[in-house]
Amino acid sequence: MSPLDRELQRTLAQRASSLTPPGDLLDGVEREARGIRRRRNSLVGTAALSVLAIAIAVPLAMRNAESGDRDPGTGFATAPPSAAPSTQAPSPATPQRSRLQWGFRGADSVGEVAGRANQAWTLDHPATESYHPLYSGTLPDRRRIEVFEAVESTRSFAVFYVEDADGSSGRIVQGLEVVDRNPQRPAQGKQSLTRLPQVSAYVDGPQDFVVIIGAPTTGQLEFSTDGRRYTTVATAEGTGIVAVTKGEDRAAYRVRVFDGDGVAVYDGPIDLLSED
Amino acid sequence: MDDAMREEFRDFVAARSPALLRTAYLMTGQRQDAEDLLQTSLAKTLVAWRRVRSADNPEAYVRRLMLNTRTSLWRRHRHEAGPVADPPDRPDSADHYGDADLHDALWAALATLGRRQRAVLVLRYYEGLSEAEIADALGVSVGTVKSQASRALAALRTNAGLLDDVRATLPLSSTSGVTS
Repeated sequence: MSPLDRELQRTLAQRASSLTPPGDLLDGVEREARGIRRRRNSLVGTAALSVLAIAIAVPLAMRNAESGDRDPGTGFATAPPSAAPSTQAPSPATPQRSRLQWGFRGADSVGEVAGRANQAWTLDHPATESYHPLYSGTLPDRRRIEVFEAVESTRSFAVFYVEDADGSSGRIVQGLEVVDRNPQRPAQGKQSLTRLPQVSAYVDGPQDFVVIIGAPTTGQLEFSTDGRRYTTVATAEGTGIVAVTKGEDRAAYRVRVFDGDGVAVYDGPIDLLSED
Repeated sequence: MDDAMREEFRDFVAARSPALLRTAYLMTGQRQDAEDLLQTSLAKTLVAWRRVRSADNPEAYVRRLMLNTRTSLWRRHRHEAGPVADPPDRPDSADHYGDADLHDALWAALATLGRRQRAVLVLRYYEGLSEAEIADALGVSVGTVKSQASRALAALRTNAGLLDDVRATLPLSSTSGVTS
């Protein structure tokens, strides 16, 4: 340990010890918790009206919700372009329940960013009835990322939205349909959907990243650029962001998800379909 | 949330909030910011308490929230003035022979660091976490932790002008290795 290390240690300890204990925090904590719950609920069906005439074509990846049934070769399909942009906001009167039921993870969800993200999705998906925030965070290059579930009456999407650090522009980079499309294995309601092990997206820009949102039961994430050598992804609450190199073969990317008991629950490609 | 869970949360806050406040204070440099940060993080924890309580280490969960929330607070206040260190609530009587000046200089130098760099140093030198644990807490790779720590220490050494001033006037042999 160098002299600087020692002095730093002593300085921090001294400053910390000089602090008087906090007063009663509970009232403020409980009040703020009620506010958080209110804000989260208010995100449901609050996409604003828009007159933007720009259609954002978002390819959709249809996927099998059963964790063990996914076929890397055929597990995805591009949906036809969705309906033309609409100025209709979803009705907040009949919000559909989240089908993933993953809850929210990440940093503070900034209301304005979440609202713009929901709005961008609504342009192309006017049938959306409710939004459920899944993750909010900042990419290493300072862009803001919002991941949310957009629920329609008969289907549900995990949507990745990225916005510049200054909020000047944002776009949907991925929308993944999470309902079971295999008629031989119909979704068994909530149970089968909540077994979805991860949703992930390739996010390009000044720097490129793969963003992986693991199910809440995720214990560890691993990532490989070639399907042979895997590295553990640093995660916070089962979510991870991996910096990747432009020009790599994205089709070769692989993700492994382990649950809290160390059991592999997913080993397959990232969800590759994106806007470009 | 039932009454038993609520009581459990209250017990957790009562037991751990002093330590968490100290960490928050070292990360923010401001008592008021630290209290705001802790309150917000505990509020988020309360919302998720049903899940958090079953985790091995709820305190680590709160700490991770503080690190993430800190970034949010910073974005919210990014147009405000830069960090200015608070004086400690009371003088430390054990601080003597000019150590106080040295520590003040280091504390001021810490305030010039970026948030993540500062967080890395706090977790490493105050919490005593390993690089892997810091990486987990910050949601970054171990390599990032190493590079952030290295840059932070280099920045502190660059601020050695402050330390040099102290060294020049006081017999602080312990700082002899602190050079840029």
